[in-house]
Amino acid sequence: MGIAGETYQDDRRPEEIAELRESALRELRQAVGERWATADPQILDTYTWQYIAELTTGTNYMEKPLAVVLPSTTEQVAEVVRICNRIGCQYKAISTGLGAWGAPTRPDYVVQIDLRRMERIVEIDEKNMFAVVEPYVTGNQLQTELFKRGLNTHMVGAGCQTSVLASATSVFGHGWDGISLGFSNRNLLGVEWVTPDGRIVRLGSFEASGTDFAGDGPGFSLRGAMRGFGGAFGGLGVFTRAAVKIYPWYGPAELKASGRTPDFFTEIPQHHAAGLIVVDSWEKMAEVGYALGEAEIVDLLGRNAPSLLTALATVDNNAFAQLYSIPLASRISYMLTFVILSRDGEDYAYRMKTLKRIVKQAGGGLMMTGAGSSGLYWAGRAIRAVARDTGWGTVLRSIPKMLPVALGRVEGVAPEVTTRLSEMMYGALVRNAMQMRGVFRFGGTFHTAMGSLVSWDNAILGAKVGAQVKEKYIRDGVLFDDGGDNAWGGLYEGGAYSHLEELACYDPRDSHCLEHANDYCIDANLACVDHFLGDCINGIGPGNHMIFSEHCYDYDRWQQKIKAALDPRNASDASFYTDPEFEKNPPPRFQRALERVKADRARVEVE
Amino acid sequence: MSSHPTLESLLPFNGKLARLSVDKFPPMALVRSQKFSSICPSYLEYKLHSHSGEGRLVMAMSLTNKRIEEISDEARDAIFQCSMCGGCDISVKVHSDIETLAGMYALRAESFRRAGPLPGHQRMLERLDAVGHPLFEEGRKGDWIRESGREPGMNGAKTLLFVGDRYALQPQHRKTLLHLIELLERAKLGLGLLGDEEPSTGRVALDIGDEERFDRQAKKVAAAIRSSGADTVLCADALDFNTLRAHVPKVEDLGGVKVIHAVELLDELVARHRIVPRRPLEARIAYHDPDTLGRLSEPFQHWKGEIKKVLGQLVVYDPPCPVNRGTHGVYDPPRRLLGAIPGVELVEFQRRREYAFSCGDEGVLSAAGWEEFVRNTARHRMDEAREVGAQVVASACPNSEDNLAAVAPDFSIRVANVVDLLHDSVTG
Repeated sequence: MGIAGETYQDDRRPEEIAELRESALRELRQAVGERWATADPQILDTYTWQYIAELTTGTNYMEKPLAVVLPSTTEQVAEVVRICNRIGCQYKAISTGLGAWGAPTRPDYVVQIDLRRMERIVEIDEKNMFAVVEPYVTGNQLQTELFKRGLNTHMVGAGCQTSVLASATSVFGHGWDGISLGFSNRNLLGVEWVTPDGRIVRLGSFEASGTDFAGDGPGFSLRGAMRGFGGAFGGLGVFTRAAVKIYPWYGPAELKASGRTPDFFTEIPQHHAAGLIVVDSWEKMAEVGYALGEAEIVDLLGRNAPSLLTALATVDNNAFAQLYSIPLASRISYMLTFVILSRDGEDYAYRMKTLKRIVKQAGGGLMMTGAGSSGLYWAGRAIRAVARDTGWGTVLRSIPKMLPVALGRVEGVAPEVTTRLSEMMYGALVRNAMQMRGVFRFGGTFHTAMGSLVSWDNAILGAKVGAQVKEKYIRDGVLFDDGGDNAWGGLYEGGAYSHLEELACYDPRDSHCLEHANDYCIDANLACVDHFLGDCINGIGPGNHMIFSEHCYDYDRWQQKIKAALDPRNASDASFYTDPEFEKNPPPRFQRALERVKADRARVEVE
Repeated sequence: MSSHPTLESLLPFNGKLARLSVDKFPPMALVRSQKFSSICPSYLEYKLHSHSGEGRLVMAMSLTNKRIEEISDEARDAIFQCSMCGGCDISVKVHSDIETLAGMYALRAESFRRAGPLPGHQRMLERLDAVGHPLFEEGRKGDWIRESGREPGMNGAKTLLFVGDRYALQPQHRKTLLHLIELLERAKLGLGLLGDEEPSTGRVALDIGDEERFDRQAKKVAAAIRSSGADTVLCADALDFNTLRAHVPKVEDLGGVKVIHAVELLDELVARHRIVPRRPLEARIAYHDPDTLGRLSEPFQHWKGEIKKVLGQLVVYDPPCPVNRGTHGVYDPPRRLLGAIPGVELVEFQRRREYAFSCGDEGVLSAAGWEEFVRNTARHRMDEAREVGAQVVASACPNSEDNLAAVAPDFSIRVANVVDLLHDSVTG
């Protein structure tokens, strides 16, 4: 994502920094114990390397913390926050820690609060359907324990190794299961919050009932302030517990995975299914998406571009390049991956019948392998749909190239891929455990754009616009050539809203990429404004709020008021949240955006 | 000239690090409980990001990029507070070709070059120089041969039994060694023994970061193997098996000699009924996969080629670069051996095979004074054994045996070597 923040010019004398560091370390060690705080420069340095740091600093590194501290209780977190307020430094909390927003943007000034030691699943309330987690509980861990109880949780696209609490309280929350399990902020109930100045506040029903079953309790609701759509990305204190909604799971207590590393296949339980819906156009995909949402028959639904699915099936880039060279592999554009998790045979039969009717009405087909195979009729329909889009020539040219794959003779492609692709997809979607191949492996990293939470039609429009914006950067060699269209996302809560973000993969070590990566983000964000696509997934940090805010109820002004009211000292590092001073001195990469914003303001005034 | 990867040579692979934290967990589709969802003993113990595979790779790159100029004492501890089990490496390679373990070895070598060994490690190296092995037991490596009435030498055999330092010198493992030999003699297999002339593989030097010393030992070992005339080296110790397959070939060619582990040969002999387990053992046994016998045992593969980009930013290798992912480790033979013993009920750890949780230490951690870390790691593994209902934990590695046996009394679980269990059943 294109993010604000700046490469900070530190005017302090080394002695000032040393004194601050010494004072911080002394007090932090008193609060958490000698062992759990350090200011060793090399240890601190390991916290600076971050995903998409290059979009902020131009390198793989964010700035070095003042110290790292590992509290184990909420009370210790509060004491750490009070210490930072007292001695005049900032702090930034991190748990599983994927993303530049987890690290400081100002060197030797921000205490990194590593929440690694707070890793408990505090409670699973099966009757009231919520789970209470500490910051280091991952989606994978929570889901694993919930499955044993016939329950499930929403999982985010960033991966099941990420923190449930971090997404629920502070960072977006898109996922394949959105059509049935919603978005992270929609699943957030009670919250335990160490406010920016070190008070401990519990939001929700806890104060009234002693349980976290509801996100709203007596008194003013602060949930909009602390969470909103995107979250504060660490800029509004520290969250130490979160209660999240949990849902029924009509599957076994433990899914059976087989295979040898690195390819794993998850046995699809009885009355479950996974596969691909294939149609011939964006318009048909829109039709199918809406119909599936209204029918409430699929549990996971996602649009994955051909490059992502091809990557899932391959163990390395050489194998990917070979598979992707098959014309069809890069051209089956209009497909939705789906998973059905029925509770019994009757439910399954109904859902499959309804699914097939919807797909047939859209002129599409189905591809499902293994035990729940869609059979030749539906696979044939899928191929015909593809042919209507790509032409029969593409299909026919692909057949000889697909034979070695089908025969298991391509190095780096598991022989079972063609017969067990559904099992790979099932595991990848339900467990959210394999998708990193589809974005990180190509060049080393990726960033993303578009992806506003809008209607499905609008999301599809965004996908088309995003692909157009990407073309220039692909042509210029900045981005991986995925054909332009690498839209990822799906529908949420029965289709009430949707998102499709445009993935863009590149090499974080390539100076050409580093020089222009942000430009793609800025262009994509301005395109969102031009096409009325809403505040998008790139709307993180002051620079991007500058682009979007005035088109969206001036939300950033409210964020600034909230920040000022709750954190008058600005102790909580808000580099990825909000900054009222941003426009006075934006980093060079936002100059172009600022000019555009000023031009828009001038035009509005004239009008 | 040795071809240990260096920090610089690994940069094209490891520079793609994305801080995903997948190195801290087993492949997540396979996780069965929150309690046993870690793959990294070091991160589990010390909690700091510096103590994970990713954290150490960041340190490695910061040194290479000259972002940090010196290695502090705390950083050096972080570098060496790791069992080098390779769990992080295997998990990361589900999604990418980043060479985490190789990066950590290169980091250790760099630390050694700049700062020398830690005091405890220095003593091990001095011992290696003085007596030819790093252990502190007295005696010579051929003593057990003399005491058992056998003779060293190849005597026309084409299979060389590489006994290893621990089996040769440590009294607690003598019984297992003799059991192994008795089983092989029962199958009428001729074996060569080097006795006093068997060099140490010097693996400890590699783990300490002393590549030069390791290379000297590797050359001695390779020369001894080549001059033995053997076409097969049969390793008793999993650590030697790993060293001869995965590390010595970086330095010296073994001349086409096949390197196998004892459990592989025993598995074959049982399958061909040349040894027959008879006496039942009524027990629920969980097999602990040692990393040296399992995920780390794939042979080292040289690669020389170019890194290219196609499709704009897709990084490919020409020719394709082989990646050791632990897929072809020795996992099934020991399980088949245990399964062949009448009455045995095999249960599996939650974390097993290529993603088994390490048992603790090859000696380097304890020597540096981190016994509590070793003990906690072993306790965590035994806790997992208890969770799956094991009455016995079997392993095929003397090191695993020692680490787990040290804490086993607290769990009322017996620890045994696969060879001993098989011997008892065959001869009973």
